[in-house]
Amino acid sequence: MQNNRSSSKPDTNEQSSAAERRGRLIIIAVCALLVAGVGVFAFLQLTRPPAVTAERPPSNGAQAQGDLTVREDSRRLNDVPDAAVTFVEFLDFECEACAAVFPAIEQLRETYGDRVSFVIRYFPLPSHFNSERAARAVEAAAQQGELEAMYRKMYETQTEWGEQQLPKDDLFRQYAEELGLDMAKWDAAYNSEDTLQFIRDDFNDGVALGVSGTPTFFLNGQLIQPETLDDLTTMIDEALAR
Amino acid sequence: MTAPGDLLDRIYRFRQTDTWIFSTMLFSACLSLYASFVLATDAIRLAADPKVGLPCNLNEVINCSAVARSWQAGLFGFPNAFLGLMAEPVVITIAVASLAGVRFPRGFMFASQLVYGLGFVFAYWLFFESTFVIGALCPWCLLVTVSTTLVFASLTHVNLRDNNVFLPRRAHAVLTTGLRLGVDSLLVVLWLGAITTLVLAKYGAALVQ
Repeated sequence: MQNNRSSSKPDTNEQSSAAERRGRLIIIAVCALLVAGVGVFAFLQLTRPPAVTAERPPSNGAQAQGDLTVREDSRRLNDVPDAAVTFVEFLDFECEACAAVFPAIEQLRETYGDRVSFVIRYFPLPSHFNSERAARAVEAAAQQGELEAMYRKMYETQTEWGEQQLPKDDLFRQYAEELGLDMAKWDAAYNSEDTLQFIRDDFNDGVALGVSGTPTFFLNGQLIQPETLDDLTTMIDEALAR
Repeated sequence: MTAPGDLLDRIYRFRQTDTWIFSTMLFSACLSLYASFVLATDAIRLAADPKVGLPCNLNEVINCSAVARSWQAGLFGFPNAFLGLMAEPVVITIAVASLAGVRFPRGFMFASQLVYGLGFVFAYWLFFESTFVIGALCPWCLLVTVSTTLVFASLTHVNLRDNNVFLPRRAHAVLTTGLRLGVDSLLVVLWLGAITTLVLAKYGAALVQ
């Protein structure tokens, strides 16, 4: 089998030995097995139902069945039982536009707080370094009934911690202390997997609804795109009149 | 003369030729250049209007805007894609010149290996940041990751074949045997299989939701 003729490029012109052929076939077989293995793994992974299945029941009441904008356990700044109008904001505490509309939302709550439910949904954008931490801090406060205080705190202090690439856990903890929260409970909630899952569920609902940025508003399950505070009041008035 | 063994021999000999190595390098470098071009244009569009919708935002995971807005996307103060726009045309030039018969000096090829090696490391740093830190993937970035891998593999292949990396004779002989057996292809398959597995394990069905 061995061809002994001399050549300027012995590596490329020699006949291969039987051992070399066997080696090649083994390598081809291993490659094929690897590709097949990755293919099977891909199939299994892509068809597996996501781990984040919605354990949380969809909302009912005034909302249409299957409406993802509000769930039974979604966080509410104002909770009006059997409200005819529900206002939902997907927000990110590190988003400047959200902080910019925060005073307007406060004003709306003052005007309509007795007739309209104001719901917040966490939508921490991955591009904001501390937004998920901020959401956890607020959700941890909400778990001891202090949603509103921490919600306000985040927007009021946003310029002190926003748009930075350093983890702000200590600062958020300090805010919780300043608000006089039960720190053992807050710490546990801040670091708990359930808190994170709650935020992710909110986020996933937003994605499913086509939310891609913040703030995004829904009024009775319908996406609205107000330009001004007046637009918002008009829309809410119309919804209330219906 | 046409036994299957002979055909396999011919394929394996062809794999070692300049024609094959530099053609694949040329092809991969063109892919990488195209992806860099799209990424650079998108970076400019995003800079002009941060809210612009990009067609590569498919879902929460496949989301190029999230990746483009991260600080990692402009590590050196400008969009990373600009590096691809500068580097890939050089690779294309080397590949085309080599296909036309130019033989570059060993030192030149050695230097290309080192510099492209840096680009390779950077591409994978970005891949890991994107997958595990930013938590979103962008299709064009993944194309850059894969094509950079292929360019790096073909560049390494030719530099090992011709010993442009100044290895001792014995070591070079061992590596040449490896190339003749196709171990390099095995490594590329293994490598790409591993990163595919990583992405699938991390995101699973969320990729296609």
